[in-house]
Amino acid sequence: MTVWVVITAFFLGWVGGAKAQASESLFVFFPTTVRPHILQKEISSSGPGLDVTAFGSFADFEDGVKAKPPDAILSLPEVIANLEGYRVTVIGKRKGESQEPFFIMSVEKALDPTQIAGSKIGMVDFLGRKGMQKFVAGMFPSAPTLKTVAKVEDLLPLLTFGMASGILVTQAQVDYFRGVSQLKFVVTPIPGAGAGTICLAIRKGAEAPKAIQALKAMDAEVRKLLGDVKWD
Amino acid sequence: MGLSGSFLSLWLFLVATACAKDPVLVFRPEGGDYDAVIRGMGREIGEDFTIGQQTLAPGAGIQAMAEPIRRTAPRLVILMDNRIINLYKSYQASLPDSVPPVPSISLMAASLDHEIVGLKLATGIAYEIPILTSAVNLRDILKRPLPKIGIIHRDFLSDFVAGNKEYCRQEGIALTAVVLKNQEENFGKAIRKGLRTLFEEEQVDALWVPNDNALLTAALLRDVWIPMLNRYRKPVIVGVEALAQPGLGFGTLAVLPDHTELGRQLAEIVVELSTAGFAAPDGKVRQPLSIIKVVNLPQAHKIAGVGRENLGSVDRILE
Repeated sequence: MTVWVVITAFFLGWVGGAKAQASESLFVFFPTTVRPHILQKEISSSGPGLDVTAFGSFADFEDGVKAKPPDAILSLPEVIANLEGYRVTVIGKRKGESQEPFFIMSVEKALDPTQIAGSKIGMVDFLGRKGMQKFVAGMFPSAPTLKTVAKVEDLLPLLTFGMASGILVTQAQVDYFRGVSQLKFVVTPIPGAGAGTICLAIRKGAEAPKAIQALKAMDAEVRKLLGDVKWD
Repeated sequence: MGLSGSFLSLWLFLVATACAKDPVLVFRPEGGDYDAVIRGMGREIGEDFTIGQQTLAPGAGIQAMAEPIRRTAPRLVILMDNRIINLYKSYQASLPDSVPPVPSISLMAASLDHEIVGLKLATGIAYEIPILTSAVNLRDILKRPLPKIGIIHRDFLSDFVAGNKEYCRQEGIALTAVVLKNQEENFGKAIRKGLRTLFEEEQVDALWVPNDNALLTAALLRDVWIPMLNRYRKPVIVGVEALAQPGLGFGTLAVLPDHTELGRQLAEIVVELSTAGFAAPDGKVRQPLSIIKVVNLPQAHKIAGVGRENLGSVDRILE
């Protein structure tokens, strides 16, 4: 009896060890209206053997990376640039572009990007409070007061309840808000302002063949969840 | 100590002064939701402020507030729940005129706009999720217009509903309310009549149900709400996850506060006040921004043909 217990334990340990060695971790952090549990499930289905964790907020993502740096990260290039030890390996393109412009969306009245100092502007947080302030400061001659939210849809109440004069959004987010709300939105381009679309970054010194394979295997539905991205 | 030593001391003093973090003191009850809010705030501004917290059990007196305030000299206090807001009111009233009150941010309290009346240097975040927020999310899930939403509420909620009517109008949603007395002889009869009015005469497209214990007793749910709603088969928005359990046959969408994100919103106000030198807050009560959405999928499917493809932005799907 004891012998069998020892043999079984050894076998399970061996199998577990082999599995641990083979598993490859991918963190996903991408501002979208799709909830992380759905992103995680869908991306997992594209990458068998890939241990996918999706995060719904920058703070959770940052904590996760600090606690256990993953082999690969799927996120915005600006997020990767703020991390140490990761190199961008695959860049996603949307409509052939790897950069995405930002717009100011307001209600009924356009906001002038050159006259925005002192206005309260909402944006989804992807770099933390101070990182976002720095990011947004580079877009305007003088920086507005930034109000960040973790979820894309939380930008809408900022406008509805008059807590912000405008929100900084991508074209995909403009389309989303026009789909869910009947407010009279005014969308103003901000010359030169934008961010990267999405990219896969791999930990320096590590390899992530399963993550790269998962990108290649993504069907149109999953790519749509990531903003209709195509991988270079 | 020589001249260079004096300069060093002065330099250290200036550096220490520049690096000193403003103390913020939280008065809170026990509970996981309060923990989540404090955690959410701490993640945003924990590096820039010294955040202390004091748990006040029921029955705590003003001395339980006075002592930590004296000890930590906060620039700002955060008051969580109605009991603690009222205790702080009593504490403020006990101060001599020569002692300036510490500004406060209140949250997680029912009817906060009424509660903070009489509180000096106050601002806050409402706990009740605006009907508009719930309505817009239901419309997004159903992928169809909701021109008319019905409500049955007691009179004490009239101000809240009136405020929401204007917000909803901007979104092309009309709120139609049946107002019950705060004390009815027979709530069952009044609710039954109200539902008939809303669904048969007013032809509402959905129902919003307030978190009101007097209207949501087990007996009223079993004998009135559920049988009536089964008859009319319209989507129902509730404010408690338990009321959207598929087995119950009541709520279609439960909309709950996102406590971690409430902490972020709180942090934003702390930073705003700090930037203004902790001068007098504006006295306004802000609307909460973030919610958790829970969908009763079998019911949403039965009533409105909702499938999983509509639920990308939903936090929890109950089946």
